[in-house]
Amino acid sequence: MGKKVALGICIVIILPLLIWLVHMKPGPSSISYPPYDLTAISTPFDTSGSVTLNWFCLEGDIDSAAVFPDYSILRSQEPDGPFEKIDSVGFESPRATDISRQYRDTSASMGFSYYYKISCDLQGQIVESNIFGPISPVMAAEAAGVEGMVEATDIIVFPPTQLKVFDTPNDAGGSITLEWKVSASDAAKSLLFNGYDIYRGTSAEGLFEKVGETTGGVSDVDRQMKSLRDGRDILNGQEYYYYVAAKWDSQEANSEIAGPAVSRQQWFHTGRGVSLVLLGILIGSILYFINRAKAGKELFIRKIAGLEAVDEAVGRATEMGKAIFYIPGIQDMNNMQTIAGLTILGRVAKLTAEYETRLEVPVSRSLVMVAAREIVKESYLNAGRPDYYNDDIVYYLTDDQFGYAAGVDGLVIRKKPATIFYQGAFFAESLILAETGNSIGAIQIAGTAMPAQLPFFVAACDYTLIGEELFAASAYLSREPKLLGSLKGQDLGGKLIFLSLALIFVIIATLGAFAESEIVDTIQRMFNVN
Amino acid sequence: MRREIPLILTGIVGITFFIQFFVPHSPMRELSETFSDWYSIISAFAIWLGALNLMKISFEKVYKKDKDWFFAITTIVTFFLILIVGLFFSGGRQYLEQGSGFDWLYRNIYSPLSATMFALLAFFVASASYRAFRARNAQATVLLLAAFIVMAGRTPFGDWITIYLPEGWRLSNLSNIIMNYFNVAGQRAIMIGISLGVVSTSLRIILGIERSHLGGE
Repeated sequence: MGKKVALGICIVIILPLLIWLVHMKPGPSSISYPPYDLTAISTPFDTSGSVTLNWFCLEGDIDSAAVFPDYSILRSQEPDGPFEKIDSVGFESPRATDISRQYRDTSASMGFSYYYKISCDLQGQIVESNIFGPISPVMAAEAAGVEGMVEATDIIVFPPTQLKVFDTPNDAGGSITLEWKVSASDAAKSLLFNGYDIYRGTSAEGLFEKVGETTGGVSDVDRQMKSLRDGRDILNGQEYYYYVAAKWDSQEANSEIAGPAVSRQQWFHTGRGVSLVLLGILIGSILYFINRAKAGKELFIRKIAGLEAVDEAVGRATEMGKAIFYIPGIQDMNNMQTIAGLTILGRVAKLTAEYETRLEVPVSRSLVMVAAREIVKESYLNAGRPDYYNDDIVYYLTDDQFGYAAGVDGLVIRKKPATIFYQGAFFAESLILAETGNSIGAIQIAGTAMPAQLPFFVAACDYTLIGEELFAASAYLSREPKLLGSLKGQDLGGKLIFLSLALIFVIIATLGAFAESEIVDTIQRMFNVN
Repeated sequence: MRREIPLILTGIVGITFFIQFFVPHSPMRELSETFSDWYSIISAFAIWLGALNLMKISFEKVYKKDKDWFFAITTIVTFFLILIVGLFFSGGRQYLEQGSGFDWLYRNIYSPLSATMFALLAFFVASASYRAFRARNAQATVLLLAAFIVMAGRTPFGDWITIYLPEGWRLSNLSNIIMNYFNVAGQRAIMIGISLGVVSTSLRIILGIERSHLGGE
């Protein structure tokens, strides 16, 4: 008893520490997003050189409002000021979008750097924006050889900013991840915004080609960031440069070029560290108890009513002189529930061979048919009745879900078996099958790990193996020490871990509700397996 | 060897998939993709085993004039009908396109039959609920009450009969509380048990301790 308590305490204390160590890396850095989110660019295609400002309207500044105070445009050549008011934007001035405004500062001179901020007087309370800068007007139109393409009232598309490109973490290479703060024109959610084009090159000065496009909107709402994974013909070890173009109506605005980024293969998936720790403890516990069982230690396993009833159910069919139906679910051999279901079939088949009771196993997958035949054949051989076996005990109906349900229902109605086993993975057909069996008065034992189907089986069957009981069936029925050891390890090791963790994190989450929600967020991030 | 080779193969494939979950580096991904492809190929070939078995049993039933042999004729006729129409009268590889013979059979025979089977579920839910919700003892009575609150709370009727109560006590809110807290807690407990069972069973199979799915004890 003392050892068990010590083991429990160790797990409770050491486990969270291990998990914490695995996840010591800081979370993603957040980008400030003040109410206005003021941004500015040198106005593209403006021959005289100007700066265009974009910001989000304050609450209440909507088209249907009767009146709203003016926004003051403040400018300085130093980040700390003094800021002087250069203009104001009235309530009735044209809007960039429903929720954003733009202003063009044509008084800014080329060769000078400026800092801007917006302020608004809301009934005596001055609400100021973030300070944006430094920014200098550039005669972009001259470079482009175009004049007079932009009117003072034209809406300007803003480029994506803060573009970062990096090797996609936790992959086998062949992929680069791009992340950028969405364009101010995208954040304003206008229908005129047409998404982003992604351009890639192998040098910062070289030729860039379009390698993809994506819609507008953000991937990370809190940080107003959008991310995209470029996996198109990426060579490991090669340097890549990117820029992203925001598309608005007929305009495009390019971000700065970012790079280089080099794709590499990773040796360990860091997002799955917690899984590895938990799995390691669980596997260690299972192996420990298997060894104990092999050493001859008596292990107590609680009674499982559904499995205790297997003998009774087979005996009943024998007494009545009727058949037993065994339905191993509608999934294939790659599903663990099907495998668990077939292990019970071995036990049932052996009993039917001993009692000379007719067994029928209609299946919905060919591979299950082959495996089930092997199991039944071996069971008949072990029972000393190989002569009683024939291949037609296990037969295929159809892969189709409702076709299979119809086929089994028809067989049940016509042959009226005394006992029906449903062991495996079931979906919507579970109740159709179980209610039909119930209607003919068959004793029914079900077992599945599909939580949504469990209530149906509980309602319609005599016994139901709930979730893990299905996986315990093989060990429980065979009483093989090694299998029982694994069951004990899973119960003690696994459940102790999860109960301890549940208890600890319920306390932390409850405390977090009264204190900082950051703690809860951190824990959620720690356990987010990706 | 008949049992050892499958056990060795299972162990190798199982360990490969386990490692690949944590190690994305070559050659783990390539290996796991190859094993998945092998499984798909074997499954594809195995479909014939099932189809041939179905035909063999059906033909035997008809030949021997077993009980209910008429149903076997239906199986044989529909099997060959869809096979022949799909292979020879549906425009080759365009057999899935709208208007093909195969598509006609799918839309006008297969889909209505499937929908009919699915629709039966409504009646079975009613009969199963009737049995499950009988107030035979205290626990069944709690189940009945919870079921009433959830079902009524999901309809306008639920709020209509509790409109005079404070908002938190209306049936729609009580229904949400039952579904979001009691139900979720129970479901998660079951899911944790299932996950542990899957890990344990997988480990037994990979290590070769569990052999009953191969026909062993």
